[in-house]
Amino acid sequence: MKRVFSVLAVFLALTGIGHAATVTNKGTDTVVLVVVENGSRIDVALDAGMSESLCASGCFVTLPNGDRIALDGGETVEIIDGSAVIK
Amino acid sequence: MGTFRGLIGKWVLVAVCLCLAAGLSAAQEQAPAPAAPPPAAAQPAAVPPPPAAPATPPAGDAAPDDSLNQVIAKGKDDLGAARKRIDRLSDAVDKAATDDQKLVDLKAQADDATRSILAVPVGLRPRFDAIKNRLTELGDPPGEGQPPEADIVAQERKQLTSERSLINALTGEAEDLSIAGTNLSNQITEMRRKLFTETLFRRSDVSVEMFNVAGTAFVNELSSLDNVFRSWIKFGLRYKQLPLLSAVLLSLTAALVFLAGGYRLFGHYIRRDEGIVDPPYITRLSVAFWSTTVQTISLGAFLVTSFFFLENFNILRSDVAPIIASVLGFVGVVYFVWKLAFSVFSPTRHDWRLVRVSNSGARDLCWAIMAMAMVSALDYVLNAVSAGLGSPVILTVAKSFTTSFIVGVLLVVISFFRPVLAENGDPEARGRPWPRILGVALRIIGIGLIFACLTGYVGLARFLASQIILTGAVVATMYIGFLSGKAVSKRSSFAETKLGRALQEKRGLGPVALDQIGLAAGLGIYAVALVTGVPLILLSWGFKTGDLEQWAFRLFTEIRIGSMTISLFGIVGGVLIFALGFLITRWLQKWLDNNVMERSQVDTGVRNSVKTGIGYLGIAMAALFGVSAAGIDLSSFALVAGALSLGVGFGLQNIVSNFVSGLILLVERPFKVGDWVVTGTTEGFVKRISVRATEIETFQRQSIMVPNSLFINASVGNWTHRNKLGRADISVVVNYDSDPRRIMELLTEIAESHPKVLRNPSPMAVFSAFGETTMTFELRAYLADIVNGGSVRNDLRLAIYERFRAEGLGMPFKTDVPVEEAKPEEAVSEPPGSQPAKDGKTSIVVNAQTGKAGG
Repeated sequence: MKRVFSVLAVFLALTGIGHAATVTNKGTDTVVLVVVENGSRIDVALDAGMSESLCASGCFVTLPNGDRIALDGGETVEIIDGSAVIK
Repeated sequence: MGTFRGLIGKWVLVAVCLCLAAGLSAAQEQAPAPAAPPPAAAQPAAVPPPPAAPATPPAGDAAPDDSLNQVIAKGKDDLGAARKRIDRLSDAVDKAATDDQKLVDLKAQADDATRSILAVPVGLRPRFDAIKNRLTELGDPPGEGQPPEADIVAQERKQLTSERSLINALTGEAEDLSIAGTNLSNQITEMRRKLFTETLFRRSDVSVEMFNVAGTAFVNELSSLDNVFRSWIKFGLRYKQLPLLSAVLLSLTAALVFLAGGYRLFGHYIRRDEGIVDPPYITRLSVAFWSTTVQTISLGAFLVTSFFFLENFNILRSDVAPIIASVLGFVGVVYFVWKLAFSVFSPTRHDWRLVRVSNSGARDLCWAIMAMAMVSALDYVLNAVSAGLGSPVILTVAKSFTTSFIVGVLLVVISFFRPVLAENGDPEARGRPWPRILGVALRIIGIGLIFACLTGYVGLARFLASQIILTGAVVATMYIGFLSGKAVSKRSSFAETKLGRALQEKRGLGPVALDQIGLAAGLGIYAVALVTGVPLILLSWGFKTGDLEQWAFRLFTEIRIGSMTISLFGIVGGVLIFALGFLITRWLQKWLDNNVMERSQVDTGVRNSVKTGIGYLGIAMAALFGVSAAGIDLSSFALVAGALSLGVGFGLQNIVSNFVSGLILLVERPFKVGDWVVTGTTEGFVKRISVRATEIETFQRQSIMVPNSLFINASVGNWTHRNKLGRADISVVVNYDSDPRRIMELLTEIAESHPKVLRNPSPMAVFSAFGETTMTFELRAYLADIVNGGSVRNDLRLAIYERFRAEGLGMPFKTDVPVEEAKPEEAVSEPPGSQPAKDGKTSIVVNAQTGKAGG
């Protein structure tokens, strides 16, 4: 039993290391996000209902409605009507 | 740490602002400010309230100007500071264009600054969300033709919108700044690459004149070194006698403590036991390891404490200190290499050698390695001297030239050694040369070094020489690590170690367990050798720890193949979760079975079914969790499964049908584990009901796997379905001389006297058939446990025989006519009465008609 718990503890420690942010398009149309990560600007197209993992090391995202948000990784972002809900 | 503290500071500030805002708005709610009466109250009838405009003042999250401006102003200030920091770093980078170490520091700072920029907009996010929510609450502004909204609402909307664009602008600024920071970091990397190439390929003038100049410089350096040390020693002896003496004494004490302690703790491992002939590899290894470690650590303690006390007693001067430190380092390194080389090669005792080389090869290699270590360490000391005394650069060039040249020559010399053990394995014999590739590579590298020196690429030669020595040392250590791993994991070698013996005695582990531990330990040693060796080599090649960390992180968190991302952590996590689920399932099964169902007197069949069902369910769930945790998208599986289901439906029809049959068997329970079943030609006890098949053990102890579908599609006989009650039939044949009533009486009596025959229903004897010369009777006895049928029938037959003989029934008995027992098949196919006596005379034929003969 002790072994099981120690394995579990190690596993939890490992999983807590760091994650990318997950962006999901909850709207009905494809949206295009401008993502600035590691000094480069890229366009990310997200089809309706799709989600994508972005920026493990933090990034800036420009949303379709012109808002800019900064993500430091680990967030869950939902895009509805061109606007973002960050959880 | 600094950024972390900064972050906390920002959050605290934001929190304070929010609290303030909440307090202010609450105050407004309690006492509406008389100076600004709500316009809606001033013109109640003229303007109907707009649909979305709330009647209450702004909620707590939309704060008044002051605090909001504080948050944004704070963000602005932070950004300004970050911009200044980046600018400063950029200037510093320009200045430090030739200093690699400084560039490394600056890169770390630039990366840190870039990361800290992100914190500014992230800190503004709560405010931004609050603004957005408030704007949504306010709704769209009234369109053309609609009545205008209240002033206060319009004003609030205006303010919120302006704030929103302000924050957007700030975030944009942060974005640009972060790009600038990343660019700066990339620029530094590029500069370092260029600097490295330039330094490496800078050509120095190598000529007689250069050596003349360097020689003069060297003589000057020696004389100034002489002066420095002479004055220092004089000063030390005159004014610092006591501290000097105590420093030496104290450091000697420390060394003695380590040495004595080491010998006391590990003395057994340090000394070679001369009595042992051809010691096992593990013994050799532990002696080599402990003797090298304990003695080097003792010397290291002496050296470090010497320097520490000399420094702390103010005996060292600033110009002498680095030189003394380098000399102490030189002594330590050379001693370590000497101990290690002699432990590994053991030039005098071939049976204690760790690597398989010939005697002469071991001796030569030892000396060559020592020479190389000496040359490199000496170069290091001389460089420290030059740096301490401010000698001209040309001297450094000359020294690098000499060192690289000597290393090159040594490599060429080593390539001509013959260290590989002779074919007959005799270490005394002359060895064979290096494997061809290794020999040629050594020669090419050595000649390359000499050539680079002679053509003036001294920087390159020096770099290569030090890389070869460092990499060679790490590779050799890794090799010994692998050899030890191999030795430990060798069959039954772990059991012979002290630890193995201790485990055997204390834990009572068997040889198989010890062997497995040895294997695991060996694999562990391999892993440790790889995990420490490879990064060390990469570090010595100029990679930075940050790069390595990032690689390792990438390797474990995301490997991209096309558009798919695989995460090793994810997969390991998935496997662990599955294992955990599996363990929990097993535990739950055991707990339910032993603690709940057994005590509730649940029928064994139900117990088995529930146990198996929980097992399937648990494993299926664990697999699902594991797959999800591994980051594998189940929806993509659904697509594939849909496409393949038709093919799978046909191909796996049997397996699926058996599986479903297995589930039906579990629910319906026509038999349970331990039952005596008959299906088709198979008869025996059920041992296990599993997913696809049921294991049946026949009376001959043969295991038969019967596919589950057979039990569902065909009829199954179960002797022990509801209870174990069963009837054993024995047919008895006697001649017409006997009295049938007496026979029946006797038979019933015999059955009743058997302890395993039930009284109720009582046994009975029946007159079942007339034969030509014999009458056939049948004794029907009910047994509580039909599984005992065989032995009970046997007992009954014996009793019948003995009793009939004693009563003279069935006479005339002839001793040469045996009591005949019909074969079961005959008994089934023909009526027992038709079994005539061999010679036409009467005999007793006892039949087992039930077919339970096997029990």
